[in-house]
Amino acid sequence: MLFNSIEYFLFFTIVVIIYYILPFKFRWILLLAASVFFYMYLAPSYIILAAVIALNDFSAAKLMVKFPLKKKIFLWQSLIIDLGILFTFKYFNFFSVNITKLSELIGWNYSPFLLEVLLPAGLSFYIFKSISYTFDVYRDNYKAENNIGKYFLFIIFFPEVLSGPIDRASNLLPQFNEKKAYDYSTITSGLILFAWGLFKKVVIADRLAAVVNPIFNEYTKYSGIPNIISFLFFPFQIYCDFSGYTDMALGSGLILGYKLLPNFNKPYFSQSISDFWRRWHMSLSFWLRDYIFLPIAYSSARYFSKLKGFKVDKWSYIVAVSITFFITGLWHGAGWNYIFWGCLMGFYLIFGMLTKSMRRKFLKKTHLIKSPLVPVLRIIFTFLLVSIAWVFFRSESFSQAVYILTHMFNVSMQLTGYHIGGSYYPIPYFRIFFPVILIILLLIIEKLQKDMEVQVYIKTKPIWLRWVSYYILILLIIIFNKADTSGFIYTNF
Amino acid sequence: MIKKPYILILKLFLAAVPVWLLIIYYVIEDPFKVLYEHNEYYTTESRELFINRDHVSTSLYLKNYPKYNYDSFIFGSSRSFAFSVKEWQKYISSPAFHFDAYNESLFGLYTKVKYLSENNRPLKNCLIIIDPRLLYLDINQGETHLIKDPVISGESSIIYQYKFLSTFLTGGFFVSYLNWRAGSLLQFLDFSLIIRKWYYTEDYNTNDMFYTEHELAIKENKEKFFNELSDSYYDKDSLNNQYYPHFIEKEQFGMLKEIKKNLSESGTNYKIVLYPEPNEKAFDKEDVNILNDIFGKENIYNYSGSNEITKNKENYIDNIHVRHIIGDRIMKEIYEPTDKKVEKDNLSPN
Repeated sequence: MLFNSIEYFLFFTIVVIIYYILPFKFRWILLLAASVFFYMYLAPSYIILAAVIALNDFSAAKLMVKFPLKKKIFLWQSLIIDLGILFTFKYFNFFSVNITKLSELIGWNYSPFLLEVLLPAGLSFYIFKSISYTFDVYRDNYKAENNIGKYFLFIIFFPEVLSGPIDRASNLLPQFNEKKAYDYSTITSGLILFAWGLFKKVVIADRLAAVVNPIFNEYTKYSGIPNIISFLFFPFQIYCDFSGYTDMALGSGLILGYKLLPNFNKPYFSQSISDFWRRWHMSLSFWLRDYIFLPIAYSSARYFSKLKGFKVDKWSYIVAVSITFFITGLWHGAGWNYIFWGCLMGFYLIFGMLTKSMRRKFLKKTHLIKSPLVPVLRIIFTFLLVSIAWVFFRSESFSQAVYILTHMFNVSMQLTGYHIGGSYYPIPYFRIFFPVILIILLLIIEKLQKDMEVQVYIKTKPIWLRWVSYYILILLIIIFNKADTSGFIYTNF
Repeated sequence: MIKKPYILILKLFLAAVPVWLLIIYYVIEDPFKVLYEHNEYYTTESRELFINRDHVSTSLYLKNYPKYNYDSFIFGSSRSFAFSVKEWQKYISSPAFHFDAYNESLFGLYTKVKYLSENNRPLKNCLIIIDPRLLYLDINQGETHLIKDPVISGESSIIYQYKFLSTFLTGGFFVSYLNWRAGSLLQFLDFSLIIRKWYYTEDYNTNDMFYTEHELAIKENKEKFFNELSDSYYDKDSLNNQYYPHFIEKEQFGMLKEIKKNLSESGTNYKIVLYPEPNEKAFDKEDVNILNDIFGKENIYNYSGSNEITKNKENYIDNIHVRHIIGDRIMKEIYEPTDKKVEKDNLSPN
């Protein structure tokens, strides 16, 4: 059941109505039942896996409290089970195939052993959520939950089970104990946010996908302008797809009175790659910061401080970034394209750190440091770097990404049509210009929002403008939403 | 100020006004002709929205049955159009109905026979025109022009109606539709609205379809008609003497057995034609043997493969459908057998 489907609309309407009718003490049970139904609607059997993970981490946390001296053992027990499940379902076949390939190089030929399993929807998201809980209990940052039902609800809470945000126990679990009364303002904010997310998904992302996908799918038939178009469009496609999903998740939560973690903060206005990672998929990047980057940085700093001739800050940063972004790539999928994408992002960050003082000196010398043009150039440059990385992310192979990037400047080729399955279909230019208009509109709205969230921003406008906006939004959504609902990119992870 | 829930509901209702208006328009217009009973399903307009043929057949059957008491049926896809009730009645002398559907599936045939049998409707004669799709499609296809009428399929009529309404409301369909109603055929963006030129004339008593316009065009200028057909026709040299893959698996076998059981219980005199596809492909030998085993070899008439019908493009009105003269001829060969039959190449089974 995807957020942009009629099924979800019906499901959610029923849940909201019952939720506000029910006495407070039963509401979490309703949400748990609804979440189980929502998750089982996709693939019934995988609820068992979610239950095993919940039980594992819930019991580990309880044991940590009961036996504080042995809490490290329980942490490891929890991690081994969680990561073992993740490895089995997500990475086993990838590793098996690659080990077979590696063996072939030394003349040892055998068929790879492959598991016939499907990746359970949302597994990477809720496992990370559960791991963060055990870590927080281990570090005494959060008190262990006493109610296994509420903990299971935290893991599979339906607005965020498929693609996040990767919430923290400290944010979500206490909210299940708060009395959420009907609040007109919160509900309307949730509705606006949901509609805005739906607009980003079905109007912008799906329009861009219609242009980008045929080019990526048969990339050898294109060069020049089509490649430039796909290079520039895909970053907005994935942004609107994922942030659209997140807005719908946050909107759903808000309608029920829950404030979920934000995931995006106008990422294409970032002035550097590190700034980008503070604005893109924030719940993941902050998770990686807290549970991977910082522990590695601290322990490697301790290690480098014992060695002579090493700049501790610099080397601990390099080690921590390299490992963190390798994991970032791997988290997104069991494929070399994702790993390369992660490593490229890590390289950008390390290169940025190494050249920071040099760049600052250059700007000072040239008196450009206070120029208003510099932030704009930084935004454009960051966007281009991110877009290059996205080509690797979107491509199915390294050679495909290199082909697309190296065939961008043969400007003789115009995009007049698509090659699909051996046939050529002419393309109306409206299909190119309309998404461009939508991207510009999106960027203008984000710029105007400043630090406000979209639902807050729209409420500052006069009533006539609000209602005109609602009608335009609704009309565009019903025009562009398709009966056979298109999936979200990030639900594959 | 605390705003009451009814204010929220009222505002939501107002925000959804465009949706309400579209639903009201849909209910009044009934663009797919599935909401109300219609006296005529096809207009004389030069182009027609591609409506669900299964629904038309079912509605006409249910409407006309009390009057005509049909006991004989022609089943099949649009390929069966060439086999008219009008001609068939020369051999069966019974009130007959053409119970076809676009892209008729095995699911469709199975549910139709089952419906007739379970409702104790007489099933004296039946002529089944089997094409490759009909043999392997064992599911209810979801597209609006293909989904089966719930009266026959037994599936939910709410889901059935929802399918049409959601198709109308989404994917820009209604924009294309309104545009078409306003007289323009420009399609909106990449959204599909299946509109086609309506070539046929129909008989609302028997549900027969006739290729009147095609036959008229052939009569006027035969050479021109078939020269134009060549553009979309098969490259015979590359297709000769090929077989279709094996279609009858467990599911198909089960449905075919059920069809046979229902026909036997109704005491039906049935004949099955394996359609002469112009690509000259023959049905898989094993499939034909299974059909022979289930329905009896004497009831199977295999016109598929390379033969004098399929070799000659002048037997077709397009790259799929045979002309009425061929349908008439096959029926004559079935019901008034003589020594002279369609000559088949050695490669054709049966």
